[in-house]
Amino acid sequence: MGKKSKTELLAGTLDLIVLKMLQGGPANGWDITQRIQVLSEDVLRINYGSLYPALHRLEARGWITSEWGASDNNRRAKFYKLTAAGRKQLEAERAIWDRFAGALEAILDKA
Amino acid sequence: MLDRLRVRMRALLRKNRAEQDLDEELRYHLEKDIERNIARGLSPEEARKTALRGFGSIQQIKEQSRDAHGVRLVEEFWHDVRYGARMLTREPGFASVVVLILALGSGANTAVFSLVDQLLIRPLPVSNPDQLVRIEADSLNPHFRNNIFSYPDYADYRDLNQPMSGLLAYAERDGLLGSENPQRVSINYVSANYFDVLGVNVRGRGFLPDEERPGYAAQVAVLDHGLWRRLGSNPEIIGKSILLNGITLTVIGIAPRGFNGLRLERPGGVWVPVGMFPVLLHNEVGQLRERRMAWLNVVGRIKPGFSVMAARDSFDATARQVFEANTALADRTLPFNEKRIVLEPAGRGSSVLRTDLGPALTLLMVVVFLLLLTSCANVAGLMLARASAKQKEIAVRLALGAGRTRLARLLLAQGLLLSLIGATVGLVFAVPLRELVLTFKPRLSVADTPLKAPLDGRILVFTLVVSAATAVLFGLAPFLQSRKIDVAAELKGSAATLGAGGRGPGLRSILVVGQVALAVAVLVAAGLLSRSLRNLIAIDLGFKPDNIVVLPLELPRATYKDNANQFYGILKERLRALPAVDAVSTASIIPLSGSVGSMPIQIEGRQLQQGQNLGVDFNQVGPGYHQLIGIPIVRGRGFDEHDAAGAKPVVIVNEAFARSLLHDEDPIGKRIRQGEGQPWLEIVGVARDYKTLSLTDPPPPHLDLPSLQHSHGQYAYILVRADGDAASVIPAATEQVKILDPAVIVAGATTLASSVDESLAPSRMAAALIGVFGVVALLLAGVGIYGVIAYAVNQRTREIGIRMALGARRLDVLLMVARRGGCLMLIGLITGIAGARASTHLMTSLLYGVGPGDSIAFAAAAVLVVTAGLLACYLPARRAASCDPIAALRYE
Repeated sequence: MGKKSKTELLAGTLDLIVLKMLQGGPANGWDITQRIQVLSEDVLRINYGSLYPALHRLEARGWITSEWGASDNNRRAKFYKLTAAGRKQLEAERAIWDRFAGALEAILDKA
Repeated sequence: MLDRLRVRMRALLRKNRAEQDLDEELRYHLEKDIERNIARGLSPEEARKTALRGFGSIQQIKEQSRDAHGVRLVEEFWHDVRYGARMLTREPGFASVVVLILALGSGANTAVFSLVDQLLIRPLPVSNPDQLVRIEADSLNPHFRNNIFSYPDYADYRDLNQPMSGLLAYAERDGLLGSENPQRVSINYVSANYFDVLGVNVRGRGFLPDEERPGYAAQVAVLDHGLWRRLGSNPEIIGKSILLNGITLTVIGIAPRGFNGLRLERPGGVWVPVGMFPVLLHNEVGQLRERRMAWLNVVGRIKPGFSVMAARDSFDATARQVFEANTALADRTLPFNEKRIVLEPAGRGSSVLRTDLGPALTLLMVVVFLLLLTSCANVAGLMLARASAKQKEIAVRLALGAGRTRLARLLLAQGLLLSLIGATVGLVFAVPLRELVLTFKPRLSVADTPLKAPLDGRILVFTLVVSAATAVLFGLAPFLQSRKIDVAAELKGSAATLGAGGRGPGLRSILVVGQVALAVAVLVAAGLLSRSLRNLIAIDLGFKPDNIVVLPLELPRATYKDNANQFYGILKERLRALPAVDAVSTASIIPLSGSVGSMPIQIEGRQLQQGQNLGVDFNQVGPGYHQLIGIPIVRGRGFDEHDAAGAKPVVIVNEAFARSLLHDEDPIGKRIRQGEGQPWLEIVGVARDYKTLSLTDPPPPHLDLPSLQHSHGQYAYILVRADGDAASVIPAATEQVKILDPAVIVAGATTLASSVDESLAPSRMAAALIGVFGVVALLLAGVGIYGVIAYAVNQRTREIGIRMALGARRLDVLLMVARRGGCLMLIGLITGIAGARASTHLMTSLLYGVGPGDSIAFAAAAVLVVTAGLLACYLPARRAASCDPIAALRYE
């Protein structure tokens, strides 16, 4: 595998990303990793070791729910779905992120 | 919100289910990864490996996922406990040392606390015990306090008093239950309201007011639960009759379990109405009507709303009123008649042991608590030393992301495990230790009383709390240490040399000095006590207790009111006929049994000043008594069968009598009497002085009266000298008593030697107890030194390696390592000796023939501590000296 530079996730952003990934509809863990990889053009690789704890954490907070469903080949997979609270949380985190990113950009540009 | 709660609940409750879910979820993920890899053209095997590599630690993912659900806390704790247990089984030596130390600490605490609880804390099992007060009377003469009252006074107080919702009276006496092989029981003569005032629910019924009336003498009894069980636990016993002191009584009730009256050391036995007192004791009925006969304890329940002070004042006025109305002017003499009422709390019952042992017990509690603290310090030290050996491992764990709190929890779990095991082992010897403390009062029967009760829930809770607290104490120390671990330095291997040097003396060193000092002081005390004990054992008694059997007899009063001597005479004949019996005699009191009679005397031809009174100790003894127990008659003769009723009244005095009262005039032929109008007794012999009441004091003037002229009455000791082993004669001798009259009680047949030995019990107990604590303190100090040195050695392994590589000899290393321990020990030793010097004078009253500054005791303590200390230094030092320099260096 090529030694492409991989970017570390900023703390707290994984939750935002996962919530965003689920905005489009229910997905299982594997789907989420694949989508992140594709969408970030292979820059972000989600450590599985962080993903599942994050999913369970979000579930415990009530932002997503899970249920078992059939995946391809009729295999059982656990699908996660955004709840109403999760939707609100996504918006809130999105707003925070925008402010943060905007601020950072402003600093980097001006300095 | 509810959803979140449900998820959490589900996670906790159905942990297995959640676990399976997680497993399945991760498996799915892994499979998908493998599929993708295959799709990219990898071989199935490679695809699997790559996927697994990408996956990392499944365990860790699972752990963190679970954490999100809050299952982790509980589960990790359980995991920690299991992990701790595994580590302990891997180090059985370490584990058993720690468990032993904790067991000693917690066992001693449990034992002493159970006594403190019983004697000083626990209330009686009655309703609202804090309302109960004991009525006492202070005389205007400050030396007298009276705690007993006459029945008429009690009855007036009860009827007139305002502040009490109830006033009860009781008196305790021993009695005999049954006719054939009767057993000795405690009889409580109580007012009819006794159980009502106390709020004790009797199965069956308590007493009716009428049953108390003097002269009515209702023949009813309530049984103690313990006695009821000894009689066969038959509930049908209510309504049946029992024989008490030869009188038939009807059982009307059974007292609840755990209630045995108002005195802690006395079994409940039988409760009967006060009216039965003259009947059961075959006394004059006048006792109950006589205002001058004080014999009843009075306990009252203060009405809610009355303060103790207000109750006292009100009661005092009542008592005065009763006194004025009923006492003739001629009878109003000091000390007891001018009295002020005093109320003492009675909710915990009364107790001889509390009076005698209370202060000592509090002190003992402090000592054992300090002991527990030092054992915690020690275990903490041991854990530290061990943890420092594992410092690298801990650093690795920290680097790998183990939370520091997680680490603390691991140590805490281990601590909890150890202290629980320690406490359990400690419970095993808490009971014998408690027995040891109770031997302080060897003749006090605590059978059937709460003091003999097994350790109950309260005590177990205490032990549990103590051990949990200790676990926190010594579990926390290594954690605090772990906070200092510099992960980077530790991993680079440079921390090891930094740790030991620079810091000051440190808490641990101070602790070790304190431990050594404590050990020295306690060992000095133990040495003094055991040397004193040796001196006590070596005391010349003045008689020879070997090969002599003692049968304490108790004759039923009804049968043997006037003819007890006849019974003793026949019994002696029968005993003499037994094989292996050499000689038989009798005495009212045996030497060193803790009591002696005293009587006033007049000496013929000697004028006493007005009011002067000569009082001397006396005993009634049978023919041949002096010869039997080996007291030489230095002048004149001993008693024989001719010194009987009707013959010339005679007496034998001891040398002290002749010396101090007759001024060394020839005593033979001199006459003494008890008082005006009493017959003159002629001195026919002088006995060598022998110890009677006190083992240590020189014998005071004493006289022996012939039992054939002054009957033993109902109580006597039969003395049997055996040809060989005395103990083997006891069964045959006891059997002879029973054949002659089964109603006669043999109350604890023993040998004179062991009875004398019993008088040493308090000294022996003190020496043993302090000795045990001394050894424990020594062990702890040794372990403390060991811990410090072992820790230092661990920290300096690299340094030692370098020194040895540079040519240091083994001895140099040995000395270098041992020096620190030696210093600590020396400082501790000096501190301890100074402390002991300053405080042993406090125990002068406990010592016999040994000064509080006895150099042998001090030297012995010092030698013991130094030996233990050197051993504790040597073990780790040897390990350091034998370390392979190359390995030590490469290890880093």
